[in-house]
Amino acid sequence: MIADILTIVWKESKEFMQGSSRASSVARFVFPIAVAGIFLPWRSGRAYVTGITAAFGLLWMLPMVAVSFTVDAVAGERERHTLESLLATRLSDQAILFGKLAASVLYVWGMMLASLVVGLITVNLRQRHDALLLFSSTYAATLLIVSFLGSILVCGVAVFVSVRASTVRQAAQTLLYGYIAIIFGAIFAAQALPVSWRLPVRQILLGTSSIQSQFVAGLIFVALDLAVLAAARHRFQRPRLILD
Amino acid sequence: MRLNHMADVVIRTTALTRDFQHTRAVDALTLEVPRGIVFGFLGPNGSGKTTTIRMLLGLVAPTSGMATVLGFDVVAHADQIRARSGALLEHSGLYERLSAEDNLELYGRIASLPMRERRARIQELLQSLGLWDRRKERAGAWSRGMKQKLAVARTLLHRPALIFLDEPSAGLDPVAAASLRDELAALAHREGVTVFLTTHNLSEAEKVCARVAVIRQGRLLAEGSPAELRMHTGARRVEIVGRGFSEPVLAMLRSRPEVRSAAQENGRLLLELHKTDTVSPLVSLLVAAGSEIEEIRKGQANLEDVFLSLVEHSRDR
Repeated sequence: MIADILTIVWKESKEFMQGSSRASSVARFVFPIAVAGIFLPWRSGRAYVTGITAAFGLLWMLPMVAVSFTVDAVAGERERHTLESLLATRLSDQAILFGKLAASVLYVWGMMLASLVVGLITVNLRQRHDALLLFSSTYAATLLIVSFLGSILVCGVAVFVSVRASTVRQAAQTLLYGYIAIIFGAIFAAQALPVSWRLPVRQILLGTSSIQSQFVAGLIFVALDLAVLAAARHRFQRPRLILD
Repeated sequence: MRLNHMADVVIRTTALTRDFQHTRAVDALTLEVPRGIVFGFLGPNGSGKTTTIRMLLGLVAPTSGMATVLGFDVVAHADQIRARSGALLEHSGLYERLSAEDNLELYGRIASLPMRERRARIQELLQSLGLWDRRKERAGAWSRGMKQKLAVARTLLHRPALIFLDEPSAGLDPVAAASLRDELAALAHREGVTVFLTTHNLSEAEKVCARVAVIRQGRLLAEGSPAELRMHTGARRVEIVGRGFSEPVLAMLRSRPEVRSAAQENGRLLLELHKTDTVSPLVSLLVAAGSEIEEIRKGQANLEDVFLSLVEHSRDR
Protein backbone atom coordinates (compact mmCIF):
# COMPACT_ATOMS: atom_id res chain seq x y z
CA MET A 1 0.00 0.00 0.00
CA ILE A 2 2.78 2.47 0.92
CA ALA A 3 4.70 1.64 -2.26
CA ASP A 4 1.54 2.18 -4.31
CA ILE A 5 0.88 5.53 -2.64
CA LEU A 6 4.47 6.56 -3.36
CA THR A 7 4.02 5.56 -7.00
CA ILE A 8 1.04 7.89 -7.29
CA VAL A 9 2.95 10.66 -5.47
CA TRP A 10 5.78 10.20 -7.99
CA LYS A 11 3.34 10.39 -10.89
CA GLU A 12 1.48 13.44 -9.58
CA SER A 13 4.60 15.42 -8.80
CA LYS A 14 6.18 14.54 -12.14
CA GLU A 15 3.04 15.53 -14.01
CA PHE A 16 2.65 18.76 -12.05
CA MET A 17 6.28 19.77 -12.54
CA GLN A 18 5.94 19.18 -16.27
CA GLY A 19 2.92 21.46 -16.62
CA SER A 20 1.64 22.85 -19.85
CA SER A 21 4.58 25.27 -20.18
CA ARG A 22 7.79 26.17 -18.34
CA ALA A 23 6.44 29.65 -17.57
CA SER A 24 3.27 28.28 -15.96
CA SER A 25 5.30 25.76 -13.96
CA VAL A 26 7.54 28.53 -12.59
CA ALA A 27 4.54 30.79 -11.89
CA ARG A 28 2.91 28.05 -9.81
CA PHE A 29 5.89 28.05 -7.45
CA VAL A 30 7.01 31.67 -7.52
CA PHE A 31 3.79 33.66 -7.34
CA PRO A 32 2.31 32.31 -4.05
CA ILE A 33 5.69 32.58 -2.29
CA ALA A 34 6.26 36.07 -3.67
CA VAL A 35 2.99 37.23 -2.10
CA ALA A 36 3.01 35.29 1.19
CA GLY A 37 6.79 35.21 1.68
CA ILE A 38 7.93 38.59 0.36
CA PHE A 39 5.08 41.08 -0.08
CA LEU A 40 3.24 40.50 3.23
CA PRO A 41 6.34 40.30 5.49
CA TRP A 42 7.86 43.36 3.81
CA ARG A 43 4.75 45.39 4.52
CA SER A 44 4.28 44.04 8.05
CA GLY A 45 7.83 44.34 9.24
CA ARG A 46 8.40 43.12 12.80
CA ALA A 47 4.68 42.36 13.22
CA TYR A 48 5.18 39.44 10.82
CA VAL A 49 6.78 37.37 13.56
CA THR A 50 4.63 38.64 16.45
CA GLY A 51 1.18 39.28 14.93
CA ILE A 52 -1.15 37.19 12.84
CA THR A 53 0.24 38.30 9.45
CA ALA A 54 2.08 35.02 8.93
CA ALA A 55 -1.08 33.04 9.70
CA PHE A 56 -3.05 35.33 7.37
CA GLY A 57 -0.48 34.76 4.63
CA LEU A 58 -0.89 31.01 4.94
CA LEU A 59 -4.66 31.36 4.97
CA TRP A 60 -4.48 33.35 1.74
CA MET A 61 -2.06 30.96 0.11
CA LEU A 62 -3.71 27.69 1.08
CA PRO A 63 -6.64 27.58 -1.37
CA MET A 64 -4.59 28.96 -4.24
CA VAL A 65 -1.97 26.24 -4.19
CA ALA A 66 -4.28 23.47 -3.00
CA VAL A 67 -6.82 24.08 -5.72
CA SER A 68 -4.25 24.27 -8.51
CA PHE A 69 -2.65 20.97 -7.53
CA THR A 70 -5.47 18.83 -6.18
CA VAL A 71 -8.05 19.74 -8.77
CA ASP A 72 -5.56 18.97 -11.52
CA ALA A 73 -4.76 15.62 -9.90
CA VAL A 74 -8.37 14.46 -9.69
CA ALA A 75 -10.72 16.39 -12.00
CA GLY A 76 -7.84 16.92 -14.47
CA GLU A 77 -7.20 13.21 -14.63
CA ARG A 78 -10.82 12.59 -15.52
CA GLU A 79 -10.89 15.46 -18.03
CA ARG A 80 -7.79 14.14 -19.79
CA HIS A 81 -9.30 10.61 -19.91
CA THR A 82 -6.45 9.01 -17.99
CA LEU A 83 -8.42 8.07 -14.89
CA GLU A 84 -10.10 4.96 -16.30
CA SER A 85 -6.77 3.47 -17.39
CA LEU A 86 -5.41 4.06 -13.91
CA LEU A 87 -8.49 2.44 -12.40
CA ALA A 88 -7.97 -0.58 -14.68
CA THR A 89 -4.70 -1.39 -12.89
CA ARG A 90 -4.21 -3.44 -9.74
CA LEU A 91 -4.00 -0.32 -7.56
CA SER A 92 -6.64 -0.11 -4.85
CA ASP A 93 -9.01 2.85 -4.65
CA GLN A 94 -7.40 3.88 -1.38
CA ALA A 95 -3.88 3.81 -2.82
CA ILE A 96 -4.92 6.08 -5.68
CA LEU A 97 -6.87 8.43 -3.40
CA PHE A 98 -4.26 8.67 -0.67
CA GLY A 99 -1.47 8.94 -3.24
CA LYS A 100 -3.16 11.95 -4.76
CA LEU A 101 -3.90 13.40 -1.32
CA ALA A 102 -0.35 12.83 -0.10
CA ALA A 103 1.10 14.51 -3.18
CA SER A 104 -1.26 17.46 -2.74
CA VAL A 105 -0.58 17.84 0.99
CA LEU A 106 3.19 17.57 0.51
CA TYR A 107 3.11 20.23 -2.17
CA VAL A 108 0.76 22.58 -0.30
CA TRP A 109 2.50 22.19 3.04
CA GLY A 110 5.91 22.48 1.40
CA MET A 111 4.87 25.71 -0.27
CA MET A 112 3.57 27.07 3.04
CA LEU A 113 6.78 26.19 4.88
CA ALA A 114 8.81 27.71 2.07
CA SER A 115 6.78 30.92 2.31
CA LEU A 116 7.42 31.09 6.08
CA VAL A 117 11.17 30.63 5.59
CA VAL A 118 11.24 33.24 2.81
CA GLY A 119 9.07 35.49 5.03
CA LEU A 120 11.60 35.30 7.87
CA ILE A 121 14.45 36.11 5.50
CA THR A 122 12.46 39.02 4.06
CA VAL A 123 11.55 40.53 7.42
CA ASN A 124 15.12 40.24 8.71
CA LEU A 125 16.52 41.86 5.60
CA ARG A 126 14.07 44.72 6.00
CA GLN A 127 14.50 45.31 9.73
CA ARG A 128 18.30 44.87 9.81
CA HIS A 129 18.30 44.12 13.55
CA ASP A 130 21.38 42.82 15.30
CA ALA A 131 19.41 39.86 16.58
CA LEU A 132 17.48 37.60 14.25
CA LEU A 133 13.72 38.11 14.21
CA LEU A 134 12.09 34.70 14.64
CA PHE A 135 8.69 33.31 15.51
CA SER A 136 8.29 32.28 19.12
CA SER A 137 8.59 28.53 19.53
CA THR A 138 4.87 28.16 20.36
CA TYR A 139 3.83 30.35 17.42
CA ALA A 140 6.15 28.42 15.09
CA ALA A 141 4.69 25.13 16.34
CA THR A 142 1.16 26.46 15.86
CA LEU A 143 1.95 27.59 12.32
CA LEU A 144 3.50 24.22 11.45
CA ILE A 145 0.62 22.21 12.90
CA VAL A 146 -2.17 24.45 11.61
CA SER A 147 -0.65 24.63 8.14
CA PHE A 148 -0.30 20.83 8.04
CA LEU A 149 -3.83 20.14 9.28
CA GLY A 150 -5.17 22.94 7.07
CA SER A 151 -3.45 21.38 4.04
CA ILE A 152 -5.10 18.05 4.73
CA LEU A 153 -8.47 19.70 5.22
CA VAL A 154 -8.40 21.82 2.07
CA CYS A 155 -6.88 19.07 -0.10
CA GLY A 156 -9.47 16.60 1.22
CA VAL A 157 -12.30 18.98 0.38
CA ALA A 158 -10.71 19.59 -3.03
CA VAL A 159 -10.63 15.83 -3.73
CA PHE A 160 -14.23 15.49 -2.57
CA VAL A 161 -15.39 18.26 -4.90
CA SER A 162 -13.15 17.23 -7.81
CA VAL A 163 -14.42 13.66 -7.85
CA ARG A 164 -17.89 14.93 -8.69
CA ALA A 165 -16.84 17.69 -11.09
CA SER A 166 -16.72 16.87 -14.76
CA THR A 167 -14.08 19.48 -15.55
CA VAL A 168 -11.15 21.17 -13.84
CA ARG A 169 -12.79 24.56 -14.25
CA GLN A 170 -16.01 23.43 -12.60
CA ALA A 171 -14.14 21.99 -9.62
CA ALA A 172 -11.90 25.05 -9.25
CA GLN A 173 -14.86 27.44 -9.37
CA THR A 174 -16.85 25.46 -6.82
CA LEU A 175 -13.89 25.35 -4.45
CA LEU A 176 -12.93 28.99 -4.77
CA TYR A 177 -16.50 30.22 -4.30
CA GLY A 178 -16.83 27.94 -1.29
CA TYR A 179 -13.54 29.12 0.15
CA ILE A 180 -14.43 32.79 -0.32
CA ALA A 181 -17.77 32.17 1.39
CA ILE A 182 -16.02 30.46 4.32
CA ILE A 183 -13.40 33.21 4.70
CA PHE A 184 -15.93 36.03 4.58
CA GLY A 185 -18.24 34.06 6.85
CA ALA A 186 -15.38 33.60 9.32
CA ILE A 187 -14.52 37.32 9.21
CA PHE A 188 -18.12 38.35 9.81
CA ALA A 189 -18.49 35.70 12.51
CA ALA A 190 -15.30 36.95 14.21
CA GLN A 191 -16.62 40.51 14.17
CA ALA A 192 -19.92 39.33 15.58
CA LEU A 193 -18.15 37.54 18.45
CA PRO A 194 -18.28 39.23 21.84
CA VAL A 195 -14.98 40.97 22.60
CA SER A 196 -14.39 38.60 25.50
CA TRP A 197 -14.41 35.65 23.03
CA ARG A 198 -12.08 37.20 20.46
CA LEU A 199 -9.05 37.16 22.69
CA PRO A 200 -8.96 33.35 23.19
CA VAL A 201 -9.29 32.81 19.43
CA ARG A 202 -6.41 35.19 18.79
CA GLN A 203 -4.37 33.50 21.53
CA ILE A 204 -4.97 30.10 19.98
CA LEU A 205 -3.84 31.37 16.58
CA LEU A 206 -0.71 32.95 18.04
CA GLY A 207 0.04 29.96 20.22
CA THR A 208 -0.20 32.01 23.41
CA SER A 209 -3.28 30.34 24.87
CA SER A 210 -3.18 27.58 27.45
CA ILE A 211 -2.01 24.13 26.45
CA GLN A 212 -5.51 22.77 27.06
CA SER A 213 -7.08 25.30 24.66
CA GLN A 214 -4.46 24.54 22.01
CA PHE A 215 -5.06 20.84 22.45
CA VAL A 216 -8.83 21.16 22.12
CA ALA A 217 -8.47 23.38 19.01
CA GLY A 218 -6.07 20.83 17.55
CA LEU A 219 -8.47 17.97 18.25
CA ILE A 220 -11.31 19.80 16.53
CA PHE A 221 -9.08 20.37 13.50
CA VAL A 222 -8.03 16.70 13.42
CA ALA A 223 -11.68 15.62 13.70
CA LEU A 224 -12.56 17.86 10.75
CA ASP A 225 -9.68 16.39 8.73
CA LEU A 226 -10.77 12.83 9.49
CA ALA A 227 -14.36 13.60 8.55
CA VAL A 228 -13.29 15.08 5.21
CA LEU A 229 -10.93 12.16 4.49
CA ALA A 230 -13.68 9.67 5.29
CA ALA A 231 -16.09 11.48 2.96
CA ALA A 232 -13.48 11.59 0.18
CA ARG A 233 -12.75 7.88 0.65
CA HIS A 234 -16.44 7.07 0.52
CA ARG A 235 -16.80 8.93 -2.76
CA PHE A 236 -13.57 7.75 -4.38
CA GLN A 237 -14.72 4.30 -5.50
CA ARG A 238 -14.22 2.71 -8.88
CA PRO A 239 -17.87 2.19 -9.89
CA ARG A 240 -18.76 5.76 -8.94
CA LEU A 241 -15.77 7.20 -10.71
CA ILE A 242 -16.51 5.22 -13.86
CA LEU A 243 -20.24 5.83 -13.99
CA ASP A 244 -20.50 9.42 -12.71
CA MET B 1 -18.23 -23.99 -28.72
CA ARG B 2 -18.01 -25.27 -25.15
CA LEU B 3 -14.50 -25.79 -23.88
CA ASN B 4 -13.97 -28.65 -21.48
CA HIS B 5 -11.07 -27.56 -19.32
CA MET B 6 -11.07 -24.54 -17.07
CA ALA B 7 -7.45 -23.96 -18.03
CA ASP B 8 -8.41 -23.54 -21.69
CA VAL B 9 -10.80 -20.71 -20.93
CA VAL B 10 -9.56 -17.25 -20.08
CA ILE B 11 -12.93 -15.53 -19.94
CA ARG B 12 -16.21 -17.20 -19.12
CA THR B 13 -19.47 -15.30 -18.75
CA THR B 14 -22.83 -16.79 -17.86
CA ALA B 15 -25.98 -14.72 -18.45
CA LEU B 16 -23.95 -11.59 -17.69
CA THR B 17 -26.30 -8.62 -17.52
CA ARG B 18 -25.91 -4.94 -16.75
CA ASP B 19 -28.72 -2.40 -16.49
CA PHE B 20 -28.39 1.37 -16.37
CA GLN B 21 -31.62 2.86 -15.07
CA HIS B 22 -33.99 2.19 -18.00
CA THR B 23 -31.44 0.70 -20.39
CA ARG B 24 -30.10 -2.85 -20.55
CA ALA B 25 -26.54 -2.39 -21.77
CA VAL B 26 -25.57 -6.08 -21.66
CA ASP B 27 -28.24 -8.73 -21.84
CA ALA B 28 -27.57 -12.28 -20.61
CA LEU B 29 -24.22 -12.56 -22.33
CA THR B 30 -22.83 -16.08 -22.28
CA LEU B 31 -19.41 -16.41 -23.76
CA GLU B 32 -16.15 -18.33 -23.56
CA VAL B 33 -12.81 -17.01 -24.71
CA PRO B 34 -10.10 -19.64 -25.21
CA ARG B 35 -6.55 -19.03 -24.04
CA GLY B 36 -3.84 -17.71 -26.34
CA ILE B 37 -5.92 -16.27 -29.18
CA VAL B 38 -7.03 -12.89 -30.43
CA PHE B 39 -10.76 -12.78 -29.75
CA GLY B 40 -12.77 -10.18 -31.63
CA PHE B 41 -15.78 -8.64 -29.92
CA LEU B 42 -17.81 -6.90 -32.59
CA GLY B 43 -20.88 -4.74 -32.43
CA PRO B 44 -22.29 -1.40 -33.52
CA ASN B 45 -21.94 1.71 -31.38
CA GLY B 46 -23.80 1.39 -28.09
CA SER B 47 -24.05 -2.38 -28.33
CA GLY B 48 -22.48 -2.99 -24.91
CA LYS B 49 -18.87 -3.75 -25.82
CA THR B 50 -17.30 -1.21 -23.48
CA THR B 51 -19.67 -2.09 -20.63
CA THR B 52 -18.71 -5.75 -21.07
CA ILE B 53 -15.02 -4.90 -20.82
CA ARG B 54 -15.67 -2.77 -17.75
CA MET B 55 -17.50 -5.65 -16.09
CA LEU B 56 -14.73 -8.09 -16.99
CA LEU B 57 -12.19 -5.75 -15.42
CA GLY B 58 -14.32 -5.36 -12.31
CA LEU B 59 -14.78 -1.64 -12.87
CA VAL B 60 -18.55 -1.97 -13.02
CA ALA B 61 -20.50 -4.68 -11.20
CA PRO B 62 -22.95 -6.86 -13.17
CA THR B 63 -26.63 -6.46 -12.38
CA SER B 64 -27.00 -10.24 -12.67
CA GLY B 65 -25.19 -13.24 -14.06
CA MET B 66 -21.58 -14.08 -13.41
CA ALA B 67 -18.20 -13.97 -15.06
CA THR B 68 -14.73 -15.27 -14.40
CA VAL B 69 -11.57 -13.90 -15.93
CA LEU B 70 -8.35 -15.92 -15.64
CA GLY B 71 -10.25 -18.06 -13.14
CA PHE B 72 -11.17 -15.13 -10.87
CA ASP B 73 -14.69 -13.92 -10.21
CA VAL B 74 -15.18 -10.38 -11.54
CA VAL B 75 -16.98 -9.24 -8.38
CA ALA B 76 -15.05 -10.98 -5.63
CA HIS B 77 -11.52 -10.86 -7.04
CA ALA B 78 -11.43 -7.97 -9.47
CA ASP B 79 -8.07 -6.82 -8.10
CA GLN B 80 -6.52 -10.17 -9.07
CA ILE B 81 -7.90 -9.82 -12.59
CA ARG B 82 -6.54 -6.29 -12.97
CA ALA B 83 -3.14 -7.41 -11.66
CA ARG B 84 -2.91 -10.13 -14.30
CA SER B 85 -4.35 -8.28 -17.27
CA GLY B 86 -3.68 -5.13 -19.26
CA ALA B 87 -6.20 -2.74 -20.74
CA LEU B 88 -6.26 -0.18 -23.50
CA LEU B 89 -9.69 1.34 -23.08
CA GLU B 90 -11.73 3.76 -25.14
CA HIS B 91 -9.09 6.47 -24.61
CA SER B 92 -5.40 5.68 -24.70
CA GLY B 93 -5.05 6.91 -21.11
CA LEU B 94 -1.54 8.21 -21.71
CA TYR B 95 -0.20 11.08 -19.62
CA GLU B 96 0.51 13.55 -22.36
CA ARG B 97 2.71 15.80 -20.23
CA LEU B 98 4.99 12.88 -19.42
CA SER B 99 7.52 11.37 -21.77
CA ALA B 100 6.82 8.03 -23.40
CA GLU B 101 9.41 6.46 -21.13
CA ASP B 102 7.84 7.95 -18.00
CA ASN B 103 4.41 6.68 -19.04
CA LEU B 104 5.79 3.16 -19.13
CA GLU B 105 7.86 3.77 -16.00
CA LEU B 106 4.68 4.65 -14.13
CA TYR B 107 2.86 1.50 -15.17
CA GLY B 108 5.97 -0.58 -14.48
CA ARG B 109 6.03 0.81 -10.94
CA ILE B 110 2.31 0.15 -10.57
CA ALA B 111 2.94 -3.46 -11.59
CA SER B 112 5.74 -3.63 -8.99
CA LEU B 113 8.35 -4.64 -11.56
CA PRO B 114 11.85 -4.40 -10.08
CA MET B 115 13.81 -1.44 -11.47
CA ARG B 116 16.25 -3.42 -13.59
CA GLU B 117 13.52 -5.59 -15.10
CA ARG B 118 11.33 -2.52 -15.64
CA ARG B 119 14.03 -0.67 -17.55
CA ALA B 120 14.86 -3.71 -19.69
CA ARG B 121 11.20 -4.36 -20.45
CA ILE B 122 10.56 -0.72 -21.41
CA GLN B 123 13.52 -0.81 -23.77
CA GLU B 124 12.43 -4.14 -25.26
CA LEU B 125 8.88 -2.96 -25.97
CA LEU B 126 9.79 0.49 -27.27
CA GLN B 127 12.44 -0.96 -29.54
CA SER B 128 10.10 -3.61 -30.91
CA LEU B 129 7.55 -0.89 -31.74
CA GLY B 130 10.15 1.45 -33.25
CA LEU B 131 9.62 4.11 -30.55
CA TRP B 132 12.87 3.84 -28.59
CA ASP B 133 14.63 6.79 -30.21
CA ARG B 134 11.79 9.13 -29.26
CA ARG B 135 11.28 7.86 -25.72
CA LYS B 136 12.22 11.18 -24.09
CA GLU B 137 9.59 13.17 -26.00
CA ARG B 138 6.30 14.10 -24.41
CA ALA B 139 3.62 11.60 -25.38
CA GLY B 140 1.29 14.51 -26.15
CA ALA B 141 3.51 15.57 -29.03
CA TRP B 142 3.17 12.23 -30.79
CA SER B 143 0.83 11.23 -33.60
CA ARG B 144 -2.26 9.23 -32.71
CA GLY B 145 -0.79 6.09 -34.26
CA MET B 146 2.35 6.35 -32.14
CA LYS B 147 0.30 7.02 -29.03
CA GLN B 148 -1.77 3.90 -29.66
CA LYS B 149 1.39 1.83 -30.08
CA LEU B 150 2.69 3.24 -26.82
CA ALA B 151 -0.60 2.42 -25.13
CA VAL B 152 -0.39 -1.16 -26.45
CA ALA B 153 3.16 -1.37 -25.07
CA ARG B 154 1.81 -0.17 -21.72
CA THR B 155 -0.76 -2.96 -21.60
CA LEU B 156 1.94 -5.57 -22.27
CA LEU B 157 4.54 -4.15 -19.90
CA HIS B 158 3.96 -6.51 -16.98
CA ARG B 159 3.58 -9.58 -19.23
CA PRO B 160 -0.13 -10.06 -18.54
CA ALA B 161 -1.91 -13.27 -19.46
CA LEU B 162 -4.75 -11.28 -21.03
CA ILE B 163 -5.15 -7.84 -22.57
CA PHE B 164 -8.32 -5.92 -23.34
CA LEU B 165 -8.15 -3.59 -26.32
CA ASP B 166 -11.17 -1.36 -26.86
CA GLU B 167 -11.16 -0.05 -30.43
CA PRO B 168 -7.37 0.34 -30.61
CA SER B 169 -7.39 1.48 -34.25
CA ALA B 170 -10.27 3.97 -33.92
CA GLY B 171 -9.36 7.30 -35.45
CA LEU B 172 -6.22 6.00 -37.16
CA ASP B 173 -5.59 6.40 -40.86
CA PRO B 174 -5.46 3.11 -42.83
CA VAL B 175 -1.67 2.98 -42.87
CA ALA B 176 -1.37 3.56 -39.13
CA ALA B 177 -4.20 1.11 -38.45
CA ALA B 178 -2.51 -1.59 -40.56
CA SER B 179 0.81 -0.92 -38.85
CA LEU B 180 -0.78 -1.17 -35.40
CA ARG B 181 -2.62 -4.33 -36.40
CA ASP B 182 0.57 -6.00 -37.60
CA GLU B 183 2.52 -4.96 -34.51
CA LEU B 184 -0.31 -6.15 -32.30
CA ALA B 185 -0.57 -9.53 -33.98
CA ALA B 186 3.19 -10.02 -33.80
CA LEU B 187 3.42 -8.97 -30.15
CA ALA B 188 0.45 -11.09 -29.12
CA HIS B 189 1.96 -14.10 -30.84
CA ARG B 190 5.43 -13.51 -29.37
CA GLU B 191 4.16 -12.87 -25.83
CA GLY B 192 1.61 -15.70 -25.92
CA VAL B 193 -1.04 -13.38 -24.56
CA THR B 194 -4.79 -13.68 -25.02
CA VAL B 195 -6.27 -10.56 -26.62
CA PHE B 196 -9.88 -9.48 -26.15
CA LEU B 197 -10.33 -6.98 -28.96
CA THR B 198 -13.32 -4.79 -29.71
CA THR B 199 -13.24 -3.14 -33.08
CA HIS B 200 -15.34 -1.54 -35.77
CA ASN B 201 -12.74 -2.43 -38.32
CA LEU B 202 -14.05 -5.74 -39.62
CA SER B 203 -11.26 -6.39 -42.06
CA GLU B 204 -8.90 -5.95 -39.13
CA ALA B 205 -10.91 -8.45 -37.10
CA GLU B 206 -10.91 -10.88 -40.01
CA LYS B 207 -7.13 -10.67 -40.30
CA VAL B 208 -6.13 -10.97 -36.66
CA CYS B 209 -8.94 -12.72 -34.80
CA ALA B 210 -9.08 -16.48 -34.40
CA ARG B 211 -12.62 -16.21 -33.04
CA VAL B 212 -15.20 -13.44 -33.02
CA ALA B 213 -18.45 -12.71 -31.24
CA VAL B 214 -21.05 -10.30 -32.56
CA ILE B 215 -23.34 -8.43 -30.17
CA ARG B 216 -26.12 -5.95 -30.66
CA GLN B 217 -28.07 -4.18 -27.93
CA GLY B 218 -26.15 -6.23 -25.41
CA ARG B 219 -27.21 -9.57 -26.90
CA LEU B 220 -24.89 -12.12 -28.41
CA LEU B 221 -25.90 -12.70 -32.03
CA ALA B 222 -23.21 -15.14 -33.13
CA GLU B 223 -19.88 -16.53 -32.06
CA GLY B 224 -17.25 -18.59 -33.85
CA SER B 225 -14.23 -18.35 -36.10
CA PRO B 226 -14.57 -15.87 -38.98
CA ALA B 227 -14.74 -18.83 -41.36
CA GLU B 228 -17.51 -20.48 -39.34
CA LEU B 229 -19.52 -17.28 -39.29
CA ARG B 230 -19.13 -16.86 -43.02
CA MET B 231 -20.24 -20.44 -43.53
CA HIS B 232 -23.26 -20.25 -41.30
CA THR B 233 -24.39 -16.74 -41.82
CA GLY B 234 -22.89 -15.32 -44.94
CA ALA B 235 -24.31 -15.48 -48.41
CA ARG B 236 -22.30 -16.59 -51.39
CA ARG B 237 -21.51 -13.79 -53.81
CA VAL B 238 -21.33 -14.11 -57.59
CA GLU B 239 -20.30 -11.39 -59.99
CA ILE B 240 -21.16 -11.89 -63.68
CA VAL B 241 -19.63 -9.66 -66.35
CA GLY B 242 -21.51 -9.42 -69.64
CA ARG B 243 -24.48 -7.79 -71.39
CA GLY B 244 -28.23 -8.03 -71.50
CA PHE B 245 -29.00 -7.89 -67.77
CA SER B 246 -32.31 -6.11 -68.24
CA GLU B 247 -34.90 -5.46 -65.55
CA PRO B 248 -37.06 -8.47 -66.58
CA VAL B 249 -33.96 -10.67 -66.33
CA LEU B 250 -33.22 -9.31 -62.85
CA ALA B 251 -36.86 -9.86 -61.84
CA MET B 252 -36.67 -13.43 -63.11
CA LEU B 253 -33.51 -14.04 -61.06
CA ARG B 254 -35.01 -12.50 -57.92
CA SER B 255 -37.95 -14.87 -58.17
CA ARG B 256 -35.63 -17.88 -57.89
CA PRO B 257 -35.50 -19.43 -54.39
CA GLU B 258 -31.71 -19.81 -54.38
CA VAL B 259 -31.20 -16.09 -55.08
CA ARG B 260 -31.02 -13.82 -52.08
CA SER B 261 -30.51 -10.63 -54.06
CA ALA B 262 -29.74 -9.54 -57.60
CA ALA B 263 -28.57 -6.14 -58.80
CA GLN B 264 -26.84 -4.55 -61.75
CA GLU B 265 -23.89 -2.24 -61.26
CA ASN B 266 -21.66 -0.80 -64.01
CA GLY B 267 -22.59 -3.52 -66.46
CA ARG B 268 -21.99 -6.27 -63.93
CA LEU B 269 -24.61 -8.51 -62.45
CA LEU B 270 -24.17 -8.94 -58.69
CA LEU B 271 -25.86 -11.95 -57.11
CA GLU B 272 -26.05 -13.11 -53.52
CA LEU B 273 -26.97 -16.78 -53.22
CA HIS B 274 -27.98 -18.87 -50.28
CA LYS B 275 -24.92 -20.63 -49.03
CA THR B 276 -25.29 -24.11 -50.49
CA ASP B 277 -26.60 -23.24 -53.93
CA THR B 278 -24.55 -23.49 -57.10
CA VAL B 279 -24.48 -20.93 -59.88
CA SER B 280 -24.72 -23.10 -63.00
CA PRO B 281 -28.56 -23.31 -63.25
CA LEU B 282 -28.70 -19.53 -63.08
CA VAL B 283 -26.14 -19.17 -65.84
CA SER B 284 -28.25 -21.43 -68.03
CA LEU B 285 -31.30 -19.29 -67.32
CA LEU B 286 -29.43 -16.11 -68.18
CA VAL B 287 -28.22 -17.51 -71.48
CA ALA B 288 -31.73 -18.73 -72.28
CA ALA B 289 -33.03 -15.23 -71.58
CA GLY B 290 -30.63 -13.76 -74.13
CA SER B 291 -27.92 -12.41 -71.87
CA GLU B 292 -24.27 -12.62 -72.96
CA ILE B 293 -21.81 -13.80 -70.35
CA GLU B 294 -18.09 -12.99 -70.52
CA GLU B 295 -16.85 -13.82 -67.06
CA ILE B 296 -18.11 -15.26 -63.78
CA ARG B 297 -16.41 -14.52 -60.44
CA LYS B 298 -17.43 -16.41 -57.34
CA GLY B 299 -16.63 -15.28 -53.81
CA GLN B 300 -17.44 -15.77 -50.18
CA ALA B 301 -19.06 -13.11 -48.08
CA ASN B 302 -16.54 -11.32 -45.90
CA LEU B 303 -16.91 -10.63 -42.20
CA GLU B 304 -18.42 -7.26 -42.92
CA ASP B 305 -21.24 -8.89 -44.88
CA VAL B 306 -21.74 -11.37 -42.06
CA PHE B 307 -21.79 -8.60 -39.50
CA LEU B 308 -24.29 -6.48 -41.43
CA SER B 309 -26.44 -9.49 -42.11
CA LEU B 310 -26.50 -10.45 -38.42
CA VAL B 311 -27.26 -6.93 -37.27
CA GLU B 312 -30.03 -6.47 -39.85
CA HIS B 313 -31.47 -9.86 -39.07
CA SER B 314 -31.57 -9.04 -35.35
CA ARG B 315 -33.36 -5.76 -36.17
CA ASP B 316 -36.04 -7.64 -38.09
CA ARG B 317 -36.73 -9.95 -35.15
